[in-house]
Amino acid sequence: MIRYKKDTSNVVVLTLDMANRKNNIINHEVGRAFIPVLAHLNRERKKGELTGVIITSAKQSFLSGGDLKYLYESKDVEDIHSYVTKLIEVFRSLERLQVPVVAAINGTALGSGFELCLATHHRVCINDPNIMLGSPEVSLGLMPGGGGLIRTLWKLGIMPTIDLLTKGRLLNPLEARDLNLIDELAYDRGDMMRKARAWIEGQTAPKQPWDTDKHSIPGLPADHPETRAAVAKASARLFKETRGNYPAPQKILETIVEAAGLDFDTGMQIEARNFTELIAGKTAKNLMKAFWFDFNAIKAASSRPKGYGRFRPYKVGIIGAGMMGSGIAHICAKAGLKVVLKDVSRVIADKGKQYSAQLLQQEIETGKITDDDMELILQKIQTTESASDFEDCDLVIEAVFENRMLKGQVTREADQFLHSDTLMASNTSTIPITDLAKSSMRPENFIGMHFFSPVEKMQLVEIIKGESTSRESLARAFDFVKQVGKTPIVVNDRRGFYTTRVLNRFILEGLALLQEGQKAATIEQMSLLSGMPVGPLALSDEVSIRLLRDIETQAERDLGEAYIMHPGFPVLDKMIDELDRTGKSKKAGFYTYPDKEEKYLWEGLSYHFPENAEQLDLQTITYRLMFSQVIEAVRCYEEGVVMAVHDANVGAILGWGFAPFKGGTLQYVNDFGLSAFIEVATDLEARFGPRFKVPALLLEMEKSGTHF
Amino acid sequence: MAQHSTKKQAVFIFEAYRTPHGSNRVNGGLHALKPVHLLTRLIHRFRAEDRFPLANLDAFYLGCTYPFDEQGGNMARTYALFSGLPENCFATQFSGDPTTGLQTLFYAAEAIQQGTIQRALCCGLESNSRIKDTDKIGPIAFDPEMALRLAYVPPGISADLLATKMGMTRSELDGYTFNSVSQAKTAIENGRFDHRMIPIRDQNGLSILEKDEYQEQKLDLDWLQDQTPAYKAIGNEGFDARALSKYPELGRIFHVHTQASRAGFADGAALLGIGVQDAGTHPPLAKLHGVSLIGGEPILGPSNLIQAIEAVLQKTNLASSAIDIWETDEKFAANALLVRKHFELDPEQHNTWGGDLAWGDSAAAAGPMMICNALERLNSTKKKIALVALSGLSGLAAACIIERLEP
Repeated sequence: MIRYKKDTSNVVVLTLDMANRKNNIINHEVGRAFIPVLAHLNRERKKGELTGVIITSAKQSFLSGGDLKYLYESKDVEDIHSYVTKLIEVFRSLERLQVPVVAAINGTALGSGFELCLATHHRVCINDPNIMLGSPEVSLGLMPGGGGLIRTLWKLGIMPTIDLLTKGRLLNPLEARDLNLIDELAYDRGDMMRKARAWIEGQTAPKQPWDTDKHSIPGLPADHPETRAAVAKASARLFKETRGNYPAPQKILETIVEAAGLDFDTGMQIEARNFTELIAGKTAKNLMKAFWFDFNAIKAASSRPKGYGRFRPYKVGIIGAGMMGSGIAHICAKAGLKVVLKDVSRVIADKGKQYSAQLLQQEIETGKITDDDMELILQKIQTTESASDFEDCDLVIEAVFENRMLKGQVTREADQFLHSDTLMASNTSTIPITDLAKSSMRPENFIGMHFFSPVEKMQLVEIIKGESTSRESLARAFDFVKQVGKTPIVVNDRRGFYTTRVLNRFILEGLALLQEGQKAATIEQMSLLSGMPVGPLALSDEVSIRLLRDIETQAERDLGEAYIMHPGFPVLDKMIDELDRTGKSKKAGFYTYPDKEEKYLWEGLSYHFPENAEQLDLQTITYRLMFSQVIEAVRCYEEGVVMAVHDANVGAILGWGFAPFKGGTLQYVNDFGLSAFIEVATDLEARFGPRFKVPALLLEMEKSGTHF
Repeated sequence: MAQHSTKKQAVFIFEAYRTPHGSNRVNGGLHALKPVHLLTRLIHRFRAEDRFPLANLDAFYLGCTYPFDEQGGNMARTYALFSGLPENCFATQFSGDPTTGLQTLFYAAEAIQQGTIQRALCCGLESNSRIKDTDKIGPIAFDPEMALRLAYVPPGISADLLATKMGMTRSELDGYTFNSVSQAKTAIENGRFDHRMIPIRDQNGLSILEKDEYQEQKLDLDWLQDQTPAYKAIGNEGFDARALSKYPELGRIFHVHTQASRAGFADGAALLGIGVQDAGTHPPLAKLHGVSLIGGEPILGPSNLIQAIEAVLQKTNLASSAIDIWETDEKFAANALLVRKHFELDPEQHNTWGGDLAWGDSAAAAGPMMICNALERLNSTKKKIALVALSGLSGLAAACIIERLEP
């Protein structure tokens, strides 16, 4: 696991090489493995037979971080605390070995891996821009625990550390060198090892700056008025970003500020305690579950049918060069695919291509790509007004306006030019795929691909399997989505699929609250405080109030007698028919949209939706907004609309920004506690109607003692 | 005409807890804990015991000698709100002097006697190890104009001056120190304080400090004897001359205190719930008979302990012989010896479970912490009356008398 090799000049090279793993990680075993190595090194040093130590890795990466499985499963605070205290001791004795210790960083070093680097006296790193360095813990609800925070603080000072760690910013070797976190850059492995040895030659018994008497934290001290003011602002800014829902950045900020006024080792103690608190807390588990385990399940393609070779489309046809079509064309071209972008006229299709040009221009300005790259990408997009240009496409995606007739028509038009195994996909958020597939001569090749807007930013694609969609088509759709860098979830073809169906419950619940006389501002604020990125009224304006009504009306037609009108529905009628305020595109909806200024809630709302003198308590409002979504998500899972827990969780977070700190819709139930959830839902049903009825699945789960 | 009631309300102590003493070092037991958490832990215990309801609190009084940095701003109000005390409870702080812990009791008791308020929380809190030493020095030392006019000398010089004046010898002070620290050791090891002391845990429930930290080194007789006079050097620099300008008759100052026979600082806090007779949900633990706050001659500062004690005896109409148990400060061994000699106390009744010489001086927290200890000593001996006294800076001193009530 740690290979030990001493050369003739008494320099020891420790090579990290964990068995049966692609990457090295740090877990309690590695921590333990280091202890005898350190003891041995100490003996060698005392005998005068040690000149220096170089730590490097046999893998492509250096050390990719802590053992998330261990951290995710650990519950006992004493265990967590003793694990992290051990880690601190190991790193501390490494930097106090009294011989030069160099980290020869051959690849990515993240989290505990980067903490190890910081605990050496000198860091040489291969200058490869693909190498990532830093402490991304915060994105999984964690923080450094092995002294990474304190060492960064003592190297960089208070404000730069806040900036790096609360955002979990990763650095490439050059950036890290500029920040002084890396000391030397190397061309390749050989150069790196040469430089590491060369540095050792010039050293005797180097000390870390913080172990010398005179060193203090760089920059302004903790009690300087400017620091105090900056910290006060940083703390308010953090609240604005997190609404107090994310303990990790908050704990990181607290630790930095407290430790900045204390000595190095006391700071370590505080880091260890706050780390323990985070690991033991619910939010870290939720975030680890969603952003690590659930994500990895998707990466591992567990929802993709097995037994089909990987689909590598070469050319993709796109019907419709509107916002969605041009976005899809853009990401395909960026992923290296040839694209045929079609609209009713070449001029419109060209406009779609122009959209891609604009996006690429922005990337040039921020230095992400060069002019040549842009040229190359744009060359891949061919515009046309003729469906015959689709004939050599491996995949055609229809992205025209959300209308059954129109979609059927363009499908039929394209179909005649496709060869027998071309995959045909429809980008729709609501229209049943099985119906649309009837327009195709090969319904087994027909599938739904629900992209989100704006396509270039939104990570999720909801793949909808129609009744006749073949398993192979599903596998191919899955491969394509991954190829263009998106995250696929797989759902069955039921009205509203998964994301639209659940999100609409949230919007309608918000409207129901308004209809009942709750204050609009409270509804919006409580949504934000619950972790939703946008309130239901603002969201209605975004998606268009007319579209929301169309969806509900369609549901009414489809369901007939089974349809139960949502109490939020009358609000839609009133906004459209009486008030003619249909949303953001008309600059008038629940909000008013003045030019050049921020939108604000329309003053007329309280007149047309009179506010009750006695308002519901805030807790109840929060529960209604969140439970309406979660219960619907459980029903989707129960009905087999969404088939995997990880798809439900990740789909919710990426699709509509469902409170990430809760870990997704189904994880919300785990987080809340199943019995407590049932109790609250039962109460909501009694007070507000059958839409809050506890799904039978939850009752069964309670009986059998299982969870999602 | 409204009738004027001249009858004063009696004042009772319903609840009292303290933290352990943590030593004033970077690896001291409480150093890694933010000062506010000394209070949150005490409040938590009050809540758990629920003998003194916090919902109808009138006032929170906080004594803290050095209200700077983490103890800065409107510390009392900030700490009170952070600890979850009710928003409608007034909060204020007393600061600048170690007597402030007892000052909180004085002002709360006065207001309760007058019938102005019914319930108050009195707290002494000091996180000495986390406050920079430079923040602790006021203009009396660093402003030459004030230093000259007030003839400022550091407390150590005052203590040596007192010892010289009283004819105390080095071996007498060392002897007192050794005895006091060994008594403290016995008391700590036998868990004498545990009933009124909360173990400090971190936010994860893991232990930080369970027992008082104390300087066991002082029990090493060789070490004790090897110590050199602590204040001889600064005395020679000029402070002796300044002190003697006020006490010319002494001729010279004998530097008899060493690092051993001085207390040094400590971290800690204590919280007392006081109020009118029916203020608690349980019968009170003790009656607060009275608190005295006095000022006297600054150069011979600690000598004012005597006036403070006499003042509280007079205020409560008690003779010194009526006091069963004495707890007085040990900032310097001379301070305690002075009280012992002046009132001719039996060592069996004075600081019998040790004092500051063992665990350090927790400044403003010391008064309330000593009350917790006094309550325990009364309980274990089934005695009734205890007196707590401590000296402050520049000639201030405070004392108070409590009476244990049968439950």
